[in-house]
Amino acid sequence: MLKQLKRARDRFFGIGEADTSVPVLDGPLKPNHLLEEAAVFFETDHLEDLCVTADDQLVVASGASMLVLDEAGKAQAIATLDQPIQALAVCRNGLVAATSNTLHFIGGSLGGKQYRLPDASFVGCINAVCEHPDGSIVVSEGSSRHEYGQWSRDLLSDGNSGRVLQYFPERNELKVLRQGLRFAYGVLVDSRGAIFTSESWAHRIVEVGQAGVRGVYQDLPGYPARLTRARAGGYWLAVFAPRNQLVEFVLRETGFKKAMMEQVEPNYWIAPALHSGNDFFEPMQQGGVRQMGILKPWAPARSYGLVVRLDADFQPQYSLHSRVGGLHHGVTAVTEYRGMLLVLSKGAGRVLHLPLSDVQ
Amino acid sequence: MMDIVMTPIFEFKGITKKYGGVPAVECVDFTLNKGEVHAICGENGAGKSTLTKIMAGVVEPTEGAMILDGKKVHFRNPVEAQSEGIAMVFQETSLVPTMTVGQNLYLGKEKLFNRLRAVYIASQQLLQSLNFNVDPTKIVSELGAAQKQMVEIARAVLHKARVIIFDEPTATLTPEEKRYFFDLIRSLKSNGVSIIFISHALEEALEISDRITIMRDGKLIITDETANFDRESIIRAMVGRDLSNTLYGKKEIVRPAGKRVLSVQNLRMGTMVRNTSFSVFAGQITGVFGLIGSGRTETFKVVAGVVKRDYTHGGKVIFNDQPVRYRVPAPAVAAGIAYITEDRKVDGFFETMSIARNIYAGVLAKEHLERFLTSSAEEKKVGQEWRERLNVRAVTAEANVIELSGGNQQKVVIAKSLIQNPKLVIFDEPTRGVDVGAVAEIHEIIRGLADKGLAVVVISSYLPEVMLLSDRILVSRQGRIVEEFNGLEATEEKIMYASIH
Repeated sequence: MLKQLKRARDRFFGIGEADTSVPVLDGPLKPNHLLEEAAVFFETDHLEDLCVTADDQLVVASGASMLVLDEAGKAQAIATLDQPIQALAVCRNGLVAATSNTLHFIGGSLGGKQYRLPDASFVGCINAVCEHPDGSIVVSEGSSRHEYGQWSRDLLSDGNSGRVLQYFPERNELKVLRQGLRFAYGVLVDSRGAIFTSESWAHRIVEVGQAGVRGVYQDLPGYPARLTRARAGGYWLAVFAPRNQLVEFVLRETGFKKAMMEQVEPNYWIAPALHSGNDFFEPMQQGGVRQMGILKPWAPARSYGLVVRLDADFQPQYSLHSRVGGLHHGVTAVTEYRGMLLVLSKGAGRVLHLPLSDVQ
Repeated sequence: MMDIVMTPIFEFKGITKKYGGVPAVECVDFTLNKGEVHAICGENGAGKSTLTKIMAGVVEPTEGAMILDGKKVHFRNPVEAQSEGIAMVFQETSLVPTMTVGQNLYLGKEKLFNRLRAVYIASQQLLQSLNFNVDPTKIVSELGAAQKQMVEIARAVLHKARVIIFDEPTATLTPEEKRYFFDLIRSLKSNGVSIIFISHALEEALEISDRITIMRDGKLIITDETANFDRESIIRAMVGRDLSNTLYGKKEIVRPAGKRVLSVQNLRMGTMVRNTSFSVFAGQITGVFGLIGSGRTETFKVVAGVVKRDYTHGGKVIFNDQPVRYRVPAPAVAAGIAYITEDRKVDGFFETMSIARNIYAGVLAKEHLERFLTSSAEEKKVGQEWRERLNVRAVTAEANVIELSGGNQQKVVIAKSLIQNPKLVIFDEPTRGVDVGAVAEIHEIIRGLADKGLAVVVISSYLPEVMLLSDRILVSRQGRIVEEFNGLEATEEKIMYASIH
């Protein structure tokens, strides 16, 4: 009863739950075309994650295989797993790759080791791994209800079952650091050992501490994904989809959401997407259209490409964009490699590269 | 040019006006020809306003003679001057705020019985003939500064003046309104009306006038044909030094954005602010440019709690990561938001109080709940401190604020807000009605605040000012921020394009 009254009040005044406003892309997040105009380094289907190994090799995960890319962008497979890879990171001079239910250690001191996650509590939504200075592996899991590919269903059902876990290879033990997160997507451990994660549905980056979570960068205009450390200090953040008012509105319409999920194909849901513009059935929003030859900075988009450079305090410094109508959308991973910034656009199935000196 | 017979319509011979023994205007010989546009330039306090006030009968000269059409005249009040065809459009508007535009236009010209409908129709026709977009049925207090100015101008035209004195007419006008205004001046001129034009915008003086007179410290320095002047020579004559490089020079670096201090999302306020969204960052100056009526001032007044947003679906304001909604200014001031008004004479200060007391009022406003007693020693101390910090010049320390020049008044208003130790400072038209020398000082104050890490917003209609000061430029149009520019990449064309289309 009280809840309904509160809803009615919110709807009347346009506050709280009924407030669908989203922050704008301005200041350090001012739109540009850097990402859209970036050179294509590598192109293949099912790109998922990338990292640079200790011996300075660039590795990307594509489907179930792990590919090493040389400087010309030529690929060579180094390993193929039995399931698609969902996350990749360096670990003790080797690599760790996560599939839907297993952590695979490849090369390095733990080479060959596998850890199968307990089936009972996992549906296979692991999306990032990161090595902790104490030798353990920190893992982020978006949802314990929906599979990896069903992230938009998790968003539409107000998912709050994300977790950050820590795996200790020596003891073969898995510890839950924090649960009840609204889609944890990406983990990062800083030099002090503090653990950060992107809480996508809450549009923020949080520090996962003993006492709880603490927002370090709040109210992002998009859904944050994986984080990596920048060599010159600070961090890189990939933002895989934009927030827009239409989606914010739909998220508050429980009945509509339910009906939509039951009756409409997932591709056509009014939900953020990794890529868009290929199909005229896709939902679109007024304003995402060119006006007098100028694409307004606030043009609402269903998909977007955004990489944000954060300083050591997680405050944005500058950003790279691929805007409405562009191709390089759905960025899920970023890394630095030999003076270049490498950006993985999952939406376009491409790895892009830009000279670091150009983007600052 | 040659076909206009240069007959003086109005002449000053050795005019001196003293206030308490101090001459504001000293021994001025000045002639105004029939059908000419005569610009008077000078720093604030140079005596331009006093000179023109003598002409309009507002003040009486201490010495000297005024000659109109070859006859010696003496005006005891503005009505006498007006009956001779001399009208003045004042810097501070002299309209009756509680009456409508139409009533104001016909004020003093009423018949025994007035039919409002006829008055409105006539006013509408007059305003439209001047290309002024003002609703004659509106109450004057509801109008913006530019619209008030338009009504004043329309009134002077209506009273069929032979000499019209414009004191800073374009300060509040937008570029397009300015064009209309200049066309109006030209058409008045072709009808044989003589125009005196006081302006701080030197480009305008150069563009519109036939002759220019420059005053400094109450004395007439030079009068000459406009063709013999350029910007630099005017400034040199005005201030006796070269300022042009410090003012409106080229900018090479911009400050990087710090933490996001203010985030406004979907803010709405009546018809003025329509779903505007933007952010303001610490450690840099965010310039807000827009035409008059584009909702810049209103947006920031909502942020500062001066006016309220829409009751329903009004959007949100996030200040330092906290959603806030100020219904009155006091909590905003306490939270660290300082809004420095565009209309300092009305909202900025207590005009009959001293500088120190005005500045101290800022302290009291911030700490109104914590304080029970006020301290005159503290008042003196802060007054002295801030007068020195902002270099407020006054004859005596006890001078009332109303006696100061525009630039110094503005500094007092700024001091009053800065003493509250704000985190976000919003300057609304910080250099309106401020002389060239003080403009540079105020710009320096603004830059200093950003260098100290504060979030600074500068709302201005003067493009060179916005471009010079801002690290980021937001362009507002029809109640919404429509475009953002980096301080380096912005050009006048780009900004104007964004603000109109």
